[in-house]
Order: sequence, then C-alpha cells, then structure tokens
Amino acid sequence: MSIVHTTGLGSYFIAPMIGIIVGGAIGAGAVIGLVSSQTSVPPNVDAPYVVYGNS
Amino acid sequence: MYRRWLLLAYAFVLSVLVLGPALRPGYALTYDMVFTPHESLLPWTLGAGSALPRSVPQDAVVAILNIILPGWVLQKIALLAALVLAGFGAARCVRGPGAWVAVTLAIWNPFVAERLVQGHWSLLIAYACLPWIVCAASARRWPVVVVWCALAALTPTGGLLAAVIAIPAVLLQPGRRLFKAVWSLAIFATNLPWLVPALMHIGSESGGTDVFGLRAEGPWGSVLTAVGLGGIWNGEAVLPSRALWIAPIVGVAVCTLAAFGWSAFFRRFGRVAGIWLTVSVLGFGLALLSAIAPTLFVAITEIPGGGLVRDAQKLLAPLAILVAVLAGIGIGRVAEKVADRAVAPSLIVLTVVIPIATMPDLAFGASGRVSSVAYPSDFETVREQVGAGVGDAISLPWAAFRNFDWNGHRTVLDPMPRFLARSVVADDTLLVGRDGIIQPVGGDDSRAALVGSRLAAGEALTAFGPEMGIEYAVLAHNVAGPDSQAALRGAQVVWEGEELSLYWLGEPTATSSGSDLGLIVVVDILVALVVLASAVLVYFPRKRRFGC
Repeated sequence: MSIVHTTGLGSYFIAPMIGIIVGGAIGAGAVIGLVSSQTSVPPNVDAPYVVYGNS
Repeated sequence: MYRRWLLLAYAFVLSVLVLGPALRPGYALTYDMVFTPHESLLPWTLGAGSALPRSVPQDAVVAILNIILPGWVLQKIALLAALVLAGFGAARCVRGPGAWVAVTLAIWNPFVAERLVQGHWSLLIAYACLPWIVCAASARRWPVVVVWCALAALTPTGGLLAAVIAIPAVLLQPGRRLFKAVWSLAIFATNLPWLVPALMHIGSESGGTDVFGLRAEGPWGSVLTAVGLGGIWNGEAVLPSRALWIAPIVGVAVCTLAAFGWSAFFRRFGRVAGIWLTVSVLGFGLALLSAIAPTLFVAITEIPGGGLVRDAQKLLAPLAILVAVLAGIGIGRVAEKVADRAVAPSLIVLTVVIPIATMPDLAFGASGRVSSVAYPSDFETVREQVGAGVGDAISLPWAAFRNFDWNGHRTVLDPMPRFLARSVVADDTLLVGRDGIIQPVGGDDSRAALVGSRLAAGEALTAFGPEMGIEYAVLAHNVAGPDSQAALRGAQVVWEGEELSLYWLGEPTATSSGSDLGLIVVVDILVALVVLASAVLVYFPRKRRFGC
C-alpha cells in the first residue's frame, strides 16, 4: 500500500524539495540554536584543582 | 558486494568527519583517554596494582601493541575502528537502503558523542562489537562471537555487556549441550582478565554515589534524554546542540522509526534479536533508575561488583546501536510503501541528514574538544631519567586530573602513570562540581589513599616515600592542584624543565608489586590462548563441528 502519491513531472521536483526545505530548516535552526545555547552547559566550578566534570 | 564496500566507505568518511583533528599526528587527550608514546607493561596494567582494575586489560593490550606501533598510531586506529565498526556493523544487520541510515545513526548519535568527549574509547569499541556479536550469534558462528567478545572485554563494562548478550544467545540457540557449555565458558573467560583482579580487590570498592547517574540534558527531563541516547553524568562532555528542543524531538522520531523495524528484525534474527532487545531495555531501565531513583541506584552500586554500573548512561550502549539498526530497517519499510520511486530515496536521504543536521557540533572532533596535541619534550626527558627499576614514582601536584595549557586546558587524567616505565602513585580522588559545590568522590586505590592522607598531614615524601617503595617524584608545573612544596621538602632535584621537574626521594626500602601478579599472568595467558584458538577456528572449514 502506498502512502505517498505524486504524478508526472511534479514527483521529480517535490521529493528533493521536501529534502532541501526540511533539511535546510533543521540545519539553520540547529546552527542558530548552537550559538544561543553556548552558555547552557554549566561552567566549571571555580577551584584551585582540576574539576573532573559537572554532575 | 559492491554495496557493502560503499557502506564501508561511507562509515569511514563519517568517522573521519567525527574525529577530524583527533586524527592528526599527536595525542588526543580528553578526560579518561590517555595514550602515550610508549606505555609500559607494568603490574597495574594487568590489574595487580593497589587499585580496582577499571582499565584492565585495555592498558596491557595497548602496552603490548606499543611494542610494534607508536602510541599515537594506536590511538587513531582505536578511535577509527570503534566508529567504522559500529557503522558498518549496524549496516550488516540491515538489508536495503535503510543500511545508510543505520550507518549514520550508529556513528552520529549522542551516546557516541558524549563517550568520545569523555574519552571512553574502549567502551566505544565494545559498543561497536555488539552488532557483530549478534550477527555471528544468529549464524551460530561461536568462534567469531568469542573473538568479538574478547575485543569488547577491553573494558569491564564492555565485556559484561557483550557477555550478557552472547551467553544467552549460545544457550538459547539450538545445538549440542556440551558445545553450548564450552562456548559459553569461552565467552565468560574473555572477562577473566578483569574479573580475577577485581575479585582480589573485593572490599576495596569505592562507595556508591549518585553523581554519576544519568543527567537530564534539558527541561524535557531524564526519560526523553535517555530516549535520545544522551544523559552522560558530566555536563561538560555534552554537546551544546543537546540543549536544543530539536534533540528530544529527533530522539523520539528515531525511536518511533525503530519500532517500525522491529518485526522484520525479529524475523531475521529470532531469539538473538529478543536477547538484544531485553538487554537494551534492562540497560535503559537501570540508566533511568539512576536518574529517577538515585538512592535505590546507589544501593545497587554498593553491592560488590555493582560499581561497574556506577556510570549509568554507559548502559545505554546496547540500546543506542539497536535503535540505529531498527531505525534503518524501519525507514526501509516506510520507503518500500512509498509508491513514487523519486520520493523513497529522498526519505532515506532525509533520515541520513537529520541526525547530522541536528547535532552538527559532533563534527571535527566534537567541535575541537577531541584534538591531537604533542607532549612537550620534558615528558620524554623525565621518562629517560627515571628509566625502569624497582622503585616507584609519585605524580605531583596531588590531583587526579590535569589541565595542561599545551592541551588547550582540556581536563585529562594524569598521563604520568602511562608515560613512565615504572609504576606511578597518583591521586584517584575525583572532584565533581555540583550546584556550585565541589564534591570529592573517593578513589579505590588503598596505597594512593594512604599517600594522600600523609601528604595532607604535611609530611615530606622523603620521610615516608622510600619506605612505601616510592623513589622518584615528578612535579608538573603550570597545572591546577595543591601546593607541593611541603611534600618535596628535602628531595633532591634530578632535573628541572619548563613543564616538569624530577626529584629523587631516596633508595626504596620496600617494593610495591602485587603478590597476585603470577596468578593474573597465568589467567591472562590462558584467556589469550582461548581467544587465539577461537580465532583459528574462525577459518576452520565450515562444517557443523564444534557446534559452529
């Protein structure tokens, strides 16, 4: 059973276009998000020792 | 055949993209990952030291291979092999175009990203071994299973995860009982190199703590974080993209896709598929338990041997690679149902692109977090000055981790124990930041604990070092840590450099070598023979002999 139907010349454009639009949107969103989320990881605790990580 | 090579090439390209600067000549030093130019085969690498065998037998294997290959080459091989084997192994479980998705998801996922930054290369190798174990087990090629399990057992957790899949697979597959017993024992034996030293250290296990539990990576909480295969305890090993709302959405979408693939996967792999799913669900449950019921989880880790699951997110390994395989099969099934031949490939391409596009910061060594550097020449000079001998060395400042400026201030385990040709006493107390407070997590090395308490009391190393078998002290400059002046009172300067200084404490009056070394070596040789015999049987004419 098919779940996607396209006909004629349109099929050659629709499929790549879906890929480009969705992929592009997600990629752009990720890059923008990346920039804004740089501060989301808690900074290391200020200490005279090397702190292994933040739990 | 042609398709298989293309998939292998794709896995290779993707792995190179992930590792990026870590593949340059030099050493990628991050958290627990330390490779050195020439690691020596010392008693502690076999588990005969005073600490729990947490990195046994990986260090012994690296030391042996170091005889023929330099450390930096070994590191590149280990990292590349882990990722390529994971991607290609996942693809082997998938028929059709979904294999491209399986390769992508097996290499490009939060579990791989976080363990790579944390430096758990041997766990990643174990993760990569799982699909190969399942493929070989479903074909009842037991010698192959033993060889893969041995590779997974480079690290205790890896060996355990491989064994809990492989041993039930042997027992539940048809075959003669005698052969099933023999192969189960052979798989179990691959874990003896770490299990025997661990049994010798029973009672010295460090106390349970909830700081290593699975950690939510955003406001969506622990469950969605675990479903998305992230959640490592160390917030600094988490990529920034994991804090985006797209992260849990992609995690849920991939798991939904994986559900479509289950029936086809089960039809092909039968009972072995059921075992893999069961182990994955159990691992997921335990990892989640560490987040939602930390007190109960800590109680579990306090059971002897329970310390193995202390770092709970590790247990997502079987699920992470199973999801990659199932999602590959799932998207293949969806693509089959699409009538339009032009849309189906686009669906595959989209499913390949989305995991990469939504976690782009995994590229190029997790955006430079895993990158190669060169050790300053001081390290080589100190190694030559100390040489090999009876007395041990101590590494100062007395702190477990270093933040060398030549390593971009990345946190890394003190490399000195793996750099010198003598056993090195080093601090093993972990300092973990939590809500702005530093929480010390006690180590399990009884000798280090004793040295640490005497140093804390202000005693000089010259006063107690030689009687504890410690002859030299190596002091690292320009790194964070407690002041070492009091510890080095009266010590004779042997050599001073910009990065390191070497001190002589006195002629050692005791030796530290474990008396258990003989038994451990015998067990290791026997296990090596079992693995070697299995490797020979891999090429045995494929008749139904030996139950394979």
